[in-house]
Amino acid sequence: MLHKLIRFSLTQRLFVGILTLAVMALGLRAWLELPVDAFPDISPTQVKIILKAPGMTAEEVEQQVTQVIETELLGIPDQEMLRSTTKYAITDITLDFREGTDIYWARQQVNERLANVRDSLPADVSGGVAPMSTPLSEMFMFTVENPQLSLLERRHLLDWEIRPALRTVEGVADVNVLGGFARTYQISPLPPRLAQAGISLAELEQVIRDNNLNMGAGRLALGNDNLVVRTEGRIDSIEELAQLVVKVDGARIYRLGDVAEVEIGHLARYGAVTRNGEETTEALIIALKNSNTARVVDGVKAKLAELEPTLPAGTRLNVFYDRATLIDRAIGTISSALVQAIAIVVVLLALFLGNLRAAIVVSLSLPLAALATFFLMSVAGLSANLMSLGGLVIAIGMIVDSSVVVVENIVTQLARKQSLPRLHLIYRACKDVAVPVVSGTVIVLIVFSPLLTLTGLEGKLFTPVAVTIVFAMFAALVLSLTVVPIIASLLLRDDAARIPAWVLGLQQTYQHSLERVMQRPRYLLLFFVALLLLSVVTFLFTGKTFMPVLDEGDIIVQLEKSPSISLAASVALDEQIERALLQRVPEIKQIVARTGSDEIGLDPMSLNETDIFMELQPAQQWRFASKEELIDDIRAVLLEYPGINFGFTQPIQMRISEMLTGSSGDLSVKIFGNDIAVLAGLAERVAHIIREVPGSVDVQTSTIDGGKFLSVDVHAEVAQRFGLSTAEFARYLKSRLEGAQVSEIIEGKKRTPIVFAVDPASSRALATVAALEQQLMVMPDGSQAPLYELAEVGFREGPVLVERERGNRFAVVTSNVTGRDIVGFVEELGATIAQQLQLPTGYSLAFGGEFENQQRATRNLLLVIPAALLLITIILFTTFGSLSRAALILGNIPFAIMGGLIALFVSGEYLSVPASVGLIALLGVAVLNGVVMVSYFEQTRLSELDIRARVIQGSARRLRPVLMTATTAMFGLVPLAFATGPGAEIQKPLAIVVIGGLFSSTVTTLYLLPLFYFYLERRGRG
Amino acid sequence: MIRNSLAALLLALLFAHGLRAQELQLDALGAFELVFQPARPVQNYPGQQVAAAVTYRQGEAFIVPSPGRVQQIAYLVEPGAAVRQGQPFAVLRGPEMHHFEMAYDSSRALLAGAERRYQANKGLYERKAISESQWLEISEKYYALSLEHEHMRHFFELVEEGDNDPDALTLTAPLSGVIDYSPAPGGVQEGDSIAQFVPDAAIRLEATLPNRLRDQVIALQWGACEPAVERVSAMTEGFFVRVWSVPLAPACRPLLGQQLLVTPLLAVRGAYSLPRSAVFQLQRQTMVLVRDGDRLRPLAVTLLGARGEDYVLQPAADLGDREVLVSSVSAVQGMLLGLGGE
Repeated sequence: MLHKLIRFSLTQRLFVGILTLAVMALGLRAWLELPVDAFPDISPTQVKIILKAPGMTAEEVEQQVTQVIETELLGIPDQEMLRSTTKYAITDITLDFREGTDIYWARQQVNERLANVRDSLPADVSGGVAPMSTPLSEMFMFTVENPQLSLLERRHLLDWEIRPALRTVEGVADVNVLGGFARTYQISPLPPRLAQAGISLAELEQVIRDNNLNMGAGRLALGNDNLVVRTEGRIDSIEELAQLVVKVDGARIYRLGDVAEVEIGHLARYGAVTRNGEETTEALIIALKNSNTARVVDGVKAKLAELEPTLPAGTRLNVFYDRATLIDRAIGTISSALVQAIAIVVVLLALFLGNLRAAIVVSLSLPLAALATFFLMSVAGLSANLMSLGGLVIAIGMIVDSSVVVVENIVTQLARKQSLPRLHLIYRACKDVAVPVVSGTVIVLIVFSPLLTLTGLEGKLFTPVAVTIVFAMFAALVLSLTVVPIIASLLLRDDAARIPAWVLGLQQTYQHSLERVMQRPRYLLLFFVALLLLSVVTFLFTGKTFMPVLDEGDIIVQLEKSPSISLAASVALDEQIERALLQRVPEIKQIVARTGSDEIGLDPMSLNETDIFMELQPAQQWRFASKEELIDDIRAVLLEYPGINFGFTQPIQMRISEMLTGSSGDLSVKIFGNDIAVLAGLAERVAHIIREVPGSVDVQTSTIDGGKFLSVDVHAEVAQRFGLSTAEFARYLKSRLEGAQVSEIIEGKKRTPIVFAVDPASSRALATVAALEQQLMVMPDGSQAPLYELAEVGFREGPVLVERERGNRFAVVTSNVTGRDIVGFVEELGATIAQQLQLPTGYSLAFGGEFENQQRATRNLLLVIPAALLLITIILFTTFGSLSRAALILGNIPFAIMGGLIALFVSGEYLSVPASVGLIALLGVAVLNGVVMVSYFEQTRLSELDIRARVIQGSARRLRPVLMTATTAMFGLVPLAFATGPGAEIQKPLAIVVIGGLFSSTVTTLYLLPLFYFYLERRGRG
Repeated sequence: MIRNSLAALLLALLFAHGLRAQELQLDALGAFELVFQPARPVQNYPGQQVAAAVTYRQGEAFIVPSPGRVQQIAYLVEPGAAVRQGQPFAVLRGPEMHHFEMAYDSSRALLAGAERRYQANKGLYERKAISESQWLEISEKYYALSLEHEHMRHFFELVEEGDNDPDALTLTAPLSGVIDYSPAPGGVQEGDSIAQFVPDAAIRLEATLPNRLRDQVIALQWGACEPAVERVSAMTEGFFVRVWSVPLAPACRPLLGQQLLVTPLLAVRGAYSLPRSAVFQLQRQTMVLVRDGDRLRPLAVTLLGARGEDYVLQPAADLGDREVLVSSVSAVQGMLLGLGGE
């Protein structure tokens, strides 16, 4: 079959050429149209429910909403995790589905179950399934700046001008609006006036609802026409609202303005946004899952450019987060590494081949293979991101291998100047090496197959790497057997086989050294054994971690303040810290801080929580050489502000951590149990223990208890005398405190809620418990009574946060780990906790976070790698028909791993998933080199009977291909190993391992393999 | 006894230790902006707004009764208007007006006759020339006519002179004040009020307050006006008690009958005013942080009410002129709760 393919290609050169051009064109188009993002989509199939229950405490929401829904959701098939976070007035329930579950099916299931329990939820509960987004969907953020506009006006602009426009952009799932004041038409009922007029609050509400509507009354036939009859009562303006007649008592007409103050107000605030120490408003664009982030960002930018001139004069949209920047930088890093790798490989090929035409023939396979890979990526639905493009960079050195083998054999055949047609000679040359080329590529493909079995985050990150490598290798293989022979037939001359002088010199030197080694092998063997032992030692001392942290460019500091803090006090503290940071850390370009919850509820932080987002100046303007030093400087400033917990993270890192574990941090310790107070106590003790373990930083305990509530217990016997139910009582109080929506005014596209509320800044606002007790309540019969006569007001304490996993409450302690590996840290921590902490009955403890991922990745790899090795052994055995030959080649693997581990240790990198992937890649390359060497020894078995001469001469002859494959693979990764841009962090350990391993395995291939082959042959002959 | 004393001593020591444990060195507050402010003593604080009416107490108005049935009254001023003494305020019309005048003239003539008769018979009676019963009859007649005439005279004192229309009487205000009238639908009968005149000094506010405030309220405030509360009813009406202010000064005198929303001012002793930002919750108590040299000491307070941006509060111990932390208080609260750092 292979022969037919080669023959077809050489006989149908024009057709294959056109086909190649077509594939190239498709590849080019695919490159231009591939979805571009910084990361692959790492989110599981996840459905989130966000429900708001105004006025309800965390415990009430948990009992009446969260538990009810969780019980219903537990029946949905294919779910992997059900967790929830319940806070004051809001609950977030997250359902992770099994890998591969269709997101639309999952959402439908959740929607159906939610609909089943809707009626059993409290009446005021609103919300539902959250937009179809991922943790990486927050890809564009900006604030609205205009000193001439109030926060209310800026928020109104965002809500009704900017947000609707941005939602029309393709790929935008939603626009989350934060900060400022959401405008309302505020009705502040005056209880004494209501009492004088004899109107209850419920009646007032009903009157407003009944009158603020247009209704159709049917149709009136007028001759041959039909006219629609409608009654119009909708209120169009605040003036009209104030004039609404609420009661007619004889000649007395009471209008709304007589019994209440009607004014422009705002909804109760659950959060705020500050920029550089001053309050502002923010919009956060959320992209749809599976959308093309780069294109969505472009669309958003275009829409904003279109909008900006139409906004009030002086309005500036201050973009402080643009995912496109990260994408550009990350893709730029990888693209730059790719271009450099191609250039290096081309130079190496030219040097080794000593013939420009031959080098061009081989080099042409690089862009062609890359374009074909892009085409295959587009067919497979892969996006261009750090990982997939990183896979291509890794493959660059190996892509040329098959072409090198083919071209080298072609030039050798041509040099023999046989009296056969040129095309036939090329055909014969290709046919001779077709099987080894295919088997070599298959070995590499098998080597990378374990990556396809990775699950979780590591699977989502490294599957694109493996798939891209597979695509690239496959494309390179096909090209080497089809297009490369054609190009060779057009470009190569008969004298192309001349070996460059420097390679000849190298061969001679190598041959002499190999002869010496074979005479006295003891020292070399001892040296390699010592190195092998050294690598074991370095392995023990090398830190282990899950994944290197990608430098996203920006920094987020998370603050946690006293749990009962008010929004105003929380913002006041934030502003102080922001000003200090801006003043003392000039590397910070601007700060945008978000306190409390967002509008949609995707990230329902409490009022005591703040995310301080820092946009940094270009690194060239920094006083520090690294970001770690900058973070230390920021940390020093933050440490001057006691009484506030803080931790460092980055925009994507924060969301990924929250997505994976529901909390952020390298390590999370979850304590499961039922009693909130006990959980809080245990969490504190665990946090204390963690702080004592070296390497722990940013240790934080989620504050779950300490919530303070004012409890108003209605005296039913008194209230009922006036016909006042507890529900009406609560509604009345809500209208005085939080505000209660009654109706809305529609002005064009703008909908402004009409609410019963009291301006918090007015003298009528309830500011103390005493004022609450004296609050006059208007009864259903229009009479009034002070609240203290109807109810008892008292203080209560309760949880501020209830977190649950699979229906069980838990408290979480998170920690980042610095200066040591996570695995070692967790082992030490586990031992310390076991020694110092006795858990009560019914309470348990679990470690999570990145540590969990690392453990899972290790388990998966330890299962799959042996299987891959077995497959390789089978292939080798099939190729050589000898188990000893196969073992000889496989024996090179420990030496390859040895080099990788030593390089990792020397470079100071940790053993992480990317490093492990590098070690896997080494298996293939090490085996390939061995195959190249041993296959030649076997080929010359009959032509050279003296074993020593066969081995030495064979090794010298195979020096060039071995060095070519090794150096192209090694030097192809050098740009990645030395890259400094964002994204380089993840690929760097991989490149270092492969470079180190290739170096050691090449040396062992050149010296130890011939030596052991010699011993093997000699023993075989008896 | 000894055991009890030891227990008390132990409790006192524990309490003192608890307070000391909560004290903080100012240095420990790091770079936080620390603003201190002395607490301002206050004598009263505002309660929740209530309804009040501008009114007068029963009996404080001057009533002009009608001497007879009146067919038509044309009021010259609107109810609630301020009038001067002698200012025409109503014109009574109808044939009865002529009869009133005739009745007045006849009463005057009859009285003159009766007086002559009385004087003439007085000497006879003193001389015992007439009997006791005859003298009694003459006297009764005289005094009855005199009383009747005086009634008529008082009414006609209010009638403006110079009106030539025999069917109309123009009435003038008996005193300066605010006129109030509300004629019955069936017209004015003899003895009915034609109008009431409320002297300026009788106009005051009347409000109903929650019973709990009856001993505390000292004034009713709206806008810049703050009339003191003069009387508090000794009876309650449901959950409320009725209070009256002192007569309203001219600068603070809305229209009679006007309904107002007023804020009762409640008297308090040992209270202070502090910015709201000074107050925080700790261990189920409301606290402020008092500066004590280079230390901060939490002090329990009771919040009474709010005035503008300030709270009115009563501290557990006298604040005197000591300074209280009014900024970054939540950070200190965090420190006391054990928050802070990484």
